[in-house]
Amino acid sequence: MAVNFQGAPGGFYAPTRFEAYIHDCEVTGEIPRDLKGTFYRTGMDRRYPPRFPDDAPFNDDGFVDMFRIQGGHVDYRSRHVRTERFLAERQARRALYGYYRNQYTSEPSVQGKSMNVANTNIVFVNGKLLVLKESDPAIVLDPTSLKTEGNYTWNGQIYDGPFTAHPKVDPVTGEMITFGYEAKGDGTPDVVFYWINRRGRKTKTVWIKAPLVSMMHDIAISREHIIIPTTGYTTSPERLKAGKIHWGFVPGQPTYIGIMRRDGDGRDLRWFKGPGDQMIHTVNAVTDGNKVILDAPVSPSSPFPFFPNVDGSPFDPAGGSCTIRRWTFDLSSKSDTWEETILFPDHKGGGLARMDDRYISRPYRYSFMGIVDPSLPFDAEKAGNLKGRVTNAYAIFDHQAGTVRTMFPGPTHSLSEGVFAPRRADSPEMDGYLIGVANDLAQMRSELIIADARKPEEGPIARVLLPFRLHAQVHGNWVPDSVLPVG
Amino acid sequence: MTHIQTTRRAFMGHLGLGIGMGALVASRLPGLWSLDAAEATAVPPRPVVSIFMDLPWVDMTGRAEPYVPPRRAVGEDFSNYPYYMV
Repeated sequence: MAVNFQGAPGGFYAPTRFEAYIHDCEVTGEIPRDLKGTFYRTGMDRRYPPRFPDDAPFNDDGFVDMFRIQGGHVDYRSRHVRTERFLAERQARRALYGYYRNQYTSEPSVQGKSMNVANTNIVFVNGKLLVLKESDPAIVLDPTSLKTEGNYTWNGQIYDGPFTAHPKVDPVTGEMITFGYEAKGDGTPDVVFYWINRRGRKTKTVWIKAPLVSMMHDIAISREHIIIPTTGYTTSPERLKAGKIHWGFVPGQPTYIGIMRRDGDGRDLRWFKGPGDQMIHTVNAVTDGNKVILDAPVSPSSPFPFFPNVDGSPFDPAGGSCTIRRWTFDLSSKSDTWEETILFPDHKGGGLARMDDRYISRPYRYSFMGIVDPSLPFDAEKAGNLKGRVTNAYAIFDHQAGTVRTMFPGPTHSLSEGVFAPRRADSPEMDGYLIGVANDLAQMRSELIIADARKPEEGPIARVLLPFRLHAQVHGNWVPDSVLPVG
Repeated sequence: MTHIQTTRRAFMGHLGLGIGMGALVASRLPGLWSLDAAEATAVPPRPVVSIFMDLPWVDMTGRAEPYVPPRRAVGEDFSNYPYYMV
């Protein structure tokens, strides 16, 4: 049977299914001459229609692309990640694997084999370009051709199990703290942490048990501590054997935050417990005396409609929108909860908040996030009925002044997660460029936009125009020429 | 005691006429007949493709707001494009 996606997500969201290379892309505006490096992205693009129509987009095939920028010019390349699963399905010319992270729903011929789709994050650490999916080991790619080279375990220093999509690298020491959850198999509460130094040598391993089995997508680090959030998404071996998608959302389930010392062995781990708000991603954390201060985008309820509520209640779009909040933990208190401050209550988005990564774990002033700003114009006639449902601006939050500045790409555009590229390695915080992909929903094509982070209101200073639309992005990262020469 | 003579065919005919008239009356009463009719003719909900925070998803209950692409983005032979046919 030939491939037929009729009835699947269409319009701008139809699968693209091709790989591309463009030498010297078309550009409008002026690309700053001091911007030199590579913007890597990863996301999802289905090669074959899913076995189950209500499967999560997070189960789509991993797709990576890159924009190489130097001298005011940009080259573009994209590729599917050649996972074991991708190759098996290409050979069979159809989907073999079942629901998101449920091997029991796959065809018998592939049950028990890797379900890795490598579609969540792409990072450059220890001299390797890694594409990450939290349920599986890291996969290393060639940073120029994007060719898949295979799983990476730091030469066998760490296990070949789940590896987070959000390892944290201390910008001063170069130490990476990474982890994997459900580390002893689907439905297990075991979490493993690894410390890997700037030379790629593992220096420590710590195993902990979470208070419940839940999605643990991200952590934060301060100079002294590791902060570990749980979420309302849970699973169990019984759920998986019943043929359900990996996660079910439990409305109202308490959120737990674990805090342990970076220089410890895990025995000091302390769990705090609070309301069932959802912290999928973090922005940053700082330790100030006995207090740990964690900033993050938080939503009151589930932000992922494709992971159903276990009580059968419908998805609540309003509850899935995030605001930047500050949770403060008093380590000297006997209280097992935290204090919350909603820092920017009027600016809501999808929870992909970032910062100037040179300040990870350190005191910082700025963060930014894609937001849904209903006050900005949206041309629904040209772009479809997506007003209020797509990210239409980047908001730069000044945590010190309490102010917000926005960058608006246009009335028919949606924005993927943006990244920050410093003007120079020693530039002040947020002195540089906001970079991200904007989808022109009217023209049915995508563009890379570059804006001056100090003048966001002026909009993009350059647009790199692609003659096609891009797949849905999850995360991306900027790798400066000083770290990885663009050639 | 009076016996009414009837045939099986006549009895079934009268029964059918009575049910039909009852249904006709009931159909004019809001909330009475219509509820049963809805149950009798219930069809599974039609799943829709929806968008939340830039990501497409399929709502099997059909209650989410569907994504309707701009007309020029949809081929003429894909008139049902926003809907998942299962």
